[in-house]
This record gives sequence, structure tokens and C-alpha cells, in this order.
Amino acid sequence: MTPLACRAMLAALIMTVPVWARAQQTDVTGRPALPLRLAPETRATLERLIDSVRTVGLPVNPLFDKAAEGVLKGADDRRIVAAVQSLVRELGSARSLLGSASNTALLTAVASALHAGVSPADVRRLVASSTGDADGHLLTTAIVTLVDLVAKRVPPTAAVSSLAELMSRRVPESQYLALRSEVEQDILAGRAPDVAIADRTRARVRALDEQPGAADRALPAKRPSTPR
Amino acid sequence: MRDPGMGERELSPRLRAAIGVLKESSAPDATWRAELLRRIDGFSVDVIQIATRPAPRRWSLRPSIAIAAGLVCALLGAGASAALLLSRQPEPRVVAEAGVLPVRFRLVAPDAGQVSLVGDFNRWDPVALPLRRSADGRTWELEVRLRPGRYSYSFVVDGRLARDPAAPQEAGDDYGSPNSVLLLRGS
Repeated sequence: MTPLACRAMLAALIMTVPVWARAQQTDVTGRPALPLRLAPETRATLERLIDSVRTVGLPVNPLFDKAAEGVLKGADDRRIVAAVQSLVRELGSARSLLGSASNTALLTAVASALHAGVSPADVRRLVASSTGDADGHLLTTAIVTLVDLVAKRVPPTAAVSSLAELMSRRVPESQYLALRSEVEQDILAGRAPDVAIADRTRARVRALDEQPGAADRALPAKRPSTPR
Repeated sequence: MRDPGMGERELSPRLRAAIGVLKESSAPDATWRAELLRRIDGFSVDVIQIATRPAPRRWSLRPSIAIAAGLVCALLGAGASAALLLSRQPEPRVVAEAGVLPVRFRLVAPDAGQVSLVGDFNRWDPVALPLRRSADGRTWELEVRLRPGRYSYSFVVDGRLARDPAAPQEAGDDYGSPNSVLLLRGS
């Protein structure tokens, strides 16, 4: 099938799915429901899978979302089941890496990173550098940035090194967004992704070190917890 | 068997008048009545007896069946009303919901005829969240109230999926078109 035909099919599908999509939001009990377009056997397979995930205490909403996304994008049932199964595995691995106290946003971010090819060792390295981040938001931001950088062909290990450096300095969220934007511009300008991330991180760290009070912000990657 | 109602309707006007007299008489003598009736048009006494006897009341349905049918209708009506109430969409909330934050989505698409937002927050429903063209005619905007969390999303521009160029990208897409990611922190 030609790319033009693929696009036309996708466009036609997006125009025609609203009826299915609107009917698939929730069931009569208000719980999320699987898309109606799926074949009964596919729905049964996914419902069994989702029930098992619910039993082990992992979030199930991302699984419903993944199935709904597949329907919108015109994926066939086999592909949707494969995508949901893959997400289940990655959520399980993310839970193993983060522990049971992690929130859904962080879990799905780490699952996405694993899906993008980031190794569990690199994720652990990033988690270890996230001190003083009570709600895990900065760690989640760093992981979302990591996934974006990897999508731009930055090697995962190089991206993790840069982000761990920023995390250990407890920089605000805006710094991650700025780094992402700068690296993107450099890559679009023709620079090698690994060189772009290294140079931009160095420049950012230098700028941070020159700011007053920089010594107080920079902390060792891991601090022992002290009882009060 | 002859229908008594039919018999009375078929009688001549004179006979009907006689029957009226018979009905009105308080204690008519049977012989007198039979003689009178024989004189009128030669109809048989049997027919007249049937006509003068009060016709048994007839039901189109047995009362028990009618009551049961009424109950079934009432139950069906109540069920339909309950189903209608349950299927109604929740009313839009007027008061601000705790922990929900306004997020403005914006896309520059001057040539687009229609833009909508799909993502984890609306179960990828392409008609639920249409963007509005802003005054400059180039930008499409929509404010959505969301709970803190991480959301994958995309725009649908004239039926085609388009990533948000201003947001981080989600890698390793399963379905062939990458999404954007929104990370929303609680206040």
C-alpha cells in the first residue's frame, strides 16, 4: 500500500470512529471500558489481562487509553493486544525499579522510557540522583525529557548523564524544558545528537555554577536519610 | 350462537319500542308479555327473552390479565426512566473541582479547517475536544481542565494526526504516529 493510501485510510478512519469512540468511554457503572470496535475475543483477552493487572495493583487506566489510542489510529486488534501486553510488561518493570509507592505519572513515564529503549540500569541511575523530590515530579520531568531526547536520536546513556547532572543540582522544571529545546535546535542545525547534549549540558551547568548560592544547591547524588 | 346484542339491533323500531315498555314495567306478567310479543312482527319469544334479559357484561380482556399487563407496563416505564437517567451525561460542573488545573492547548495551523484534541484525558475521542480558531486566524486554541498527571496526546488536523511541536515527544510509538506528552503537576 502506498504512503498516500495509508494516509487516506487513516484520515477516513479518524473521521468515522467518533461514534465508536464516544460509546467507548465508560460502561454503565462508570468504569473505563474497552472500545466497542474491538472484536469480542479481543475484548475478552484484554479484559482478562486488565483484570490481572488490577489484581497486582498496577494502574489500569493507561491500558484502556492504549487500546483507545490504537482504535483511533486504525491499528488492527492483534496490534492493539500486543501494544497493551507490552505496556503491561513495562509497567511491571517500572514498578520493580521504582517501588510500590510510585505514582501513576512516574510509572507510565518510566514504562515509556523502557519502551523507548532506555535500559533499567540507566533508569536506576536517574532515580538515584533524584534527591529532595518529594512528589517525584522532577524525576518524572527528567524521564519525560529523557524519552524526548532519545526520540531525537540522543544516545540514552549520554542523555541520562546530562539529566542526572541537572537532577543532582535540583534545578527547576524549566531547565529540563530549556535543555530539550536547545538540543532539538542543535540537531535540526546539523549537530550530532550526542555532541549537542554534552555541550548544552556543560553550558547549562557552568551557568548554574556562576549563579549566587550555587554551592548550596549542588548536592551529592545520594544522601543518607537522617531521623528527626 | 346468535349474539344477543346483534339480535336487539336487528329488531324493527316497533319491536324495540315494545321492548322498552317491557323493560320499564316493574313486574310484568309473563303471559301478558308473551302475548304482547307474539303480536309484534311474529318474532320468536326466544329472541325477545334474550333481548329483554340484561346482557352479561363483556370484557375485551380478563380483569386479571388487564391488571397484569398494567403492572408490566408500569415496570417497563420505570425501567426506561431509570435507564434514561443513568445514561445521561453528567452536567458540566460549575464550581471549580479541587486539584483540577486549566491547561491551554495551542496549535498554529493557518490552513486547517478543523482541529481537535485527542489523548489519554478523553480516551482518544476525536470529536470531544474541538479547538477554536483564535482572532489572528492562524492559531487554534482550547483550554481543558485536567488533573495532575502524565498524558499522551495529539492533535487531529483535518482528519490527520499531528504532534504538538511545543511539547516533548513520546518515543517508541506502537501505532505508527508519535504522540506528545503533557506532564501536569498538582498545585
